Amino acid sequence: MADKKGLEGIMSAMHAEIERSMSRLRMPHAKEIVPQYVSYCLTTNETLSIDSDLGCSGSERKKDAYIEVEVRVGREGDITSGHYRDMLGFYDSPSQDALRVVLWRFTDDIFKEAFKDYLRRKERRMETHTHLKEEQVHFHTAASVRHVEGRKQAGISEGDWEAIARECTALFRQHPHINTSGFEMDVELETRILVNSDGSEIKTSQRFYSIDLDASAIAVSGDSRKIENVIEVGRQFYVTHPSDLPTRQEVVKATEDVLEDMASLLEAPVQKPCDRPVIGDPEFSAQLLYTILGELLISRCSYLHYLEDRGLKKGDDIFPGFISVVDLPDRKTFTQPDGNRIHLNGHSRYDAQGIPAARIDIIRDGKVAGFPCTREYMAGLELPNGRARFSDDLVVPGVTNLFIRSSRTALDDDLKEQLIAECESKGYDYGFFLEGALSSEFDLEENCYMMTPRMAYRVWARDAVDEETGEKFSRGDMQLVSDVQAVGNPKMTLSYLKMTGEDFTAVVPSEVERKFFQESSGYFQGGDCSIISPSTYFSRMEVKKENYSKTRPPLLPHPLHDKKRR
Amino acid sequence: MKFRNKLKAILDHISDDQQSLQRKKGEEEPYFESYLLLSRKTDEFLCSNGAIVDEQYSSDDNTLRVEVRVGDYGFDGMGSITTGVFPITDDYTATRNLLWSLTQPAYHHAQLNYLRKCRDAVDSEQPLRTRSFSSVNPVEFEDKMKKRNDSLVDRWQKVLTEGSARFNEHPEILSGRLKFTLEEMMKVYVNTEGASIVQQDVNYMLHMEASARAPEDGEHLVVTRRYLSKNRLQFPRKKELENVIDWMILHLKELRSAPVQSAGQYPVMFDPDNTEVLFHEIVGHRLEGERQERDWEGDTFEGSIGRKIAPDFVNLVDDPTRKLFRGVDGVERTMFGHYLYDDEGVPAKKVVLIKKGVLQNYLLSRKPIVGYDVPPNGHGRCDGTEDPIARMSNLMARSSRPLSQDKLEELLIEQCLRQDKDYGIIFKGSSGGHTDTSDDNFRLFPQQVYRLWARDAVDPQTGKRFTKGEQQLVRGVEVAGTPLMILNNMLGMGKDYRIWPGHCGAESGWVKVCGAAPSSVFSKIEVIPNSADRLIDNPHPKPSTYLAKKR
Repeated sequence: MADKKGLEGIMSAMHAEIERSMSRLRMPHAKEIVPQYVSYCLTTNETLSIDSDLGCSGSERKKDAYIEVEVRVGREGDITSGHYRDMLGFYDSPSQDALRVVLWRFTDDIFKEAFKDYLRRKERRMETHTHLKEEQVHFHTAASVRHVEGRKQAGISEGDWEAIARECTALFRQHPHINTSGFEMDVELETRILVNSDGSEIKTSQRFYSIDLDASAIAVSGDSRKIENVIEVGRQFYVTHPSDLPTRQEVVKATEDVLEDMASLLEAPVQKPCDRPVIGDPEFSAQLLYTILGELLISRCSYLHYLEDRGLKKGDDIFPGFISVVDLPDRKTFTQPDGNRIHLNGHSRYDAQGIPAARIDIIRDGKVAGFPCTREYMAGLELPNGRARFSDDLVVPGVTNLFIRSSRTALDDDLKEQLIAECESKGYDYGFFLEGALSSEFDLEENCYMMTPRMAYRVWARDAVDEETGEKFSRGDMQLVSDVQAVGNPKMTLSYLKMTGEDFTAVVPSEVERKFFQESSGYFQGGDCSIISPSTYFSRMEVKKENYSKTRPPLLPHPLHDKKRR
Repeated sequence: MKFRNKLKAILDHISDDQQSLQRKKGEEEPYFESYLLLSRKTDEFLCSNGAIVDEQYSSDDNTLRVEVRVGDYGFDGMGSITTGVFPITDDYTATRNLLWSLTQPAYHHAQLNYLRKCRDAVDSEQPLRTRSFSSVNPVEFEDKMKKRNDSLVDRWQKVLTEGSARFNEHPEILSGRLKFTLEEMMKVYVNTEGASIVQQDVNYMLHMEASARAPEDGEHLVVTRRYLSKNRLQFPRKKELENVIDWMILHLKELRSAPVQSAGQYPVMFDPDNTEVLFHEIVGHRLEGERQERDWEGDTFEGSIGRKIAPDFVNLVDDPTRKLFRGVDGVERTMFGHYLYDDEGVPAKKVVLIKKGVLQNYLLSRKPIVGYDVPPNGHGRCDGTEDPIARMSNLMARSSRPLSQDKLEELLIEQCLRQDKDYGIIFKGSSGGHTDTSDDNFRLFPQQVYRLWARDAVDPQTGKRFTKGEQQLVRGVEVAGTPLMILNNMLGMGKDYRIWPGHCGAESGWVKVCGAAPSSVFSKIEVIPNSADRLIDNPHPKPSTYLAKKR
């Protein structure tokens, strides 16, 4: 056979190995258990990284490729799965023969793993209550599809962005309290070629642009609990189209904002744990709802079967009746409240199992209406709807463009009035306004989430003096505080969601760390989806202390601010 | 238990010049040594299916913990060594040799820890912000020795063997186990400040556990009952025991056909057992002194002395000196967490933690807390092997405005109607709970779950009609929450006080504790599916149900 190169060669090699595996890959002692489905996905990435700090910069270009193999093994109607991901040792247009050797090796490994997993599932099925488990091992069949996209270009100037990075990070030099700082930009061109035993051939091309601006400082004064806390402040931009990248002026402004936030946070009083009314801005709200909803939805399809009963069923009351949630993979763009039209990160045509991505009504009038699904059959769920994603060594459902819709909205000022009224009725001096989201996690065992906002402000509900700082505040004043983390149980939290804003904003969520028995058990999707959320008003939410890392500040003063310097 | 020679050996070891710690040049001076000897003698047997299936008698377990501190009270390094290989007999020379072999290594550990702490102080000022160890006036005390009643073991073997056979007749019951433990404990504490304390404790424990499976989904259903007391007279009589076993059987049968409760948030009532466990998990652990300054802790109540942290009717006290408690049934029972001196030689003190909702104090060991200049209050506790930290003892919750049971139920129904819920949930009996003080969450594991119907309605799961105020047994759920939200959701407490004795596990090991509280009502609590296994039931009939007939 001629050793073809390029797309044709890659697909041809994949087809050949799929055909060989489907017809001949057998364990000698159990020939009746055969591959039911084989898919190969070759992902190639070209990455440009620009790093800068204190006005200096550098860049690096990298290319890599990896193969994801899914093999489902079993008898008909009784199928299990395996999934494998590994880096390839070569990048530039692998030859057909080289690719076949790699696919042969990986398929063999994953077939054996899938075979063992099949037997494990059989064991579990024997001891597990039949009523609950018997239907959960099937795999939906699907028609073949063909979709080929052209390769996209980065569309940015490396030199221009290095100059912007240097200009921004030079600002950090002059600030005596900044301990670490940096600008990191990644531009990633990703091409995925998927071929499976249905006969599908899919080639997609995507671009990801990320900018991380970070600075940290060590608190040296104020409350004893705060001293030595390493306070981190940052701004992130994740976009999928070069036209959505911030302008030079916007990045400089973001850097100035980071410095201003840092200065304010270092002076801000420490917030004691409490339970108060809360308004979350769209970014905080998007990450919170994504953390809660993502967890509840994914638990339903959980590979951790111990937890699957914690998930939701269709018709379950979960949100207040004024909330609906719909996942729209075909939506390409969204107009932000400031009038900017941006591209949504979750736009997609096909998922990792070759299924067309379809609209899903996830919550309708507060009740669960649908689930993101893979091709694995789960009792009570609908047909696959194009949400399969490779995650670590599993295929799991994910979301695309998640639109939070609300029929009970109010302007910002009205939300604030609601919060103040709630504080007054409860006798609280203040509630909170939580802005942005630094991180979020969900503890599966404890059924509890934790979310760190970028900034937290008290909203004073009456004229009062802050007993810690002695500062006087009037009704409606905002006061920045530090050490705030929101914590709660999902259903309890949602039961206190009373109203939303009208400021629907597209946000790219950061990944949610999932913990199990206090250990990290992986992450729920982040980055390749968008959440469109308004501000939210909760009549109650618990806030706890954020656990900062601590370190002793530098012993000598900043060299540019040392009065005794020589 | 004989201990005179061992005690003399420790005292002589401390005062013997030849045994003084050998310091190398540049090493820190030792300023404190302590020795905690814990002797435990146990008789234990387990009965199941009408037979004894496990037993051990006069089992001796001795541990010695040696603590050495170098530096001074202001900044020190602490080293400790524990051994389980300790003379069972009251042997002076063997004890002296063992003390000789352990003290120098403990001193060596203290030196290393001193250097580590100095190294930590390079990265953070934290270790220097507070004194390392509190000094206390030394106490000499020797308990009046109680005699344990050995005849009880023979008598209870017969009662429990027969009792465990009662489960045999019921094909639905998977297992029924009754375990008896008689434990005699002797604690000898001596330190170089001059303290010499001998405390003795006799504990009578009975654990009863039975299980079945729900036919609908295979849920493993477990019912337990236990009696933990320092007084044998408070153990149930034979007839009472049989009644409890019969109740367990009946309850399991009812549970098998009970509908599964769906997860969600509901108005909730806790019985006294669950209220006690709730206070233990969400408040008690968060008021332990050491948790107020560790970086990784959630600091839920740090720096909150004088602040309102609970509804104004809530009062909470921890009192290790309290021996007895009279519950709603009028019977006075021993409190399982009672002791007179803690494991650091400090006299136990009653500590008012919350008064009318306002935080008053923390539980303290000899480790001082930054910004809270209060002497230790006798709560430094350990299991004899781990390093002591502040722990609870007898935690008692009381309401300033106690409500009758009827009023509590009215309150629950009122909440249901306000939230447009058909029913609230009542949790009875507890298998315990746990909490994560760093991440600020907790879970409770109630034993029985009931719906209290707030209006006349038909249960869609069973098709049964219920009227307002009726209770319906359900299954399959437990409780999850975050501490402040739950505390603030508390609407009222009753007056049906009951004690809940148990064992609490934390960094310093398992210690005996006791709770006392009445029922309580909450406007909203999150209820989640429990983690019981769900497996296929044994398809074959239970032999004990047909063998007797064949014979």
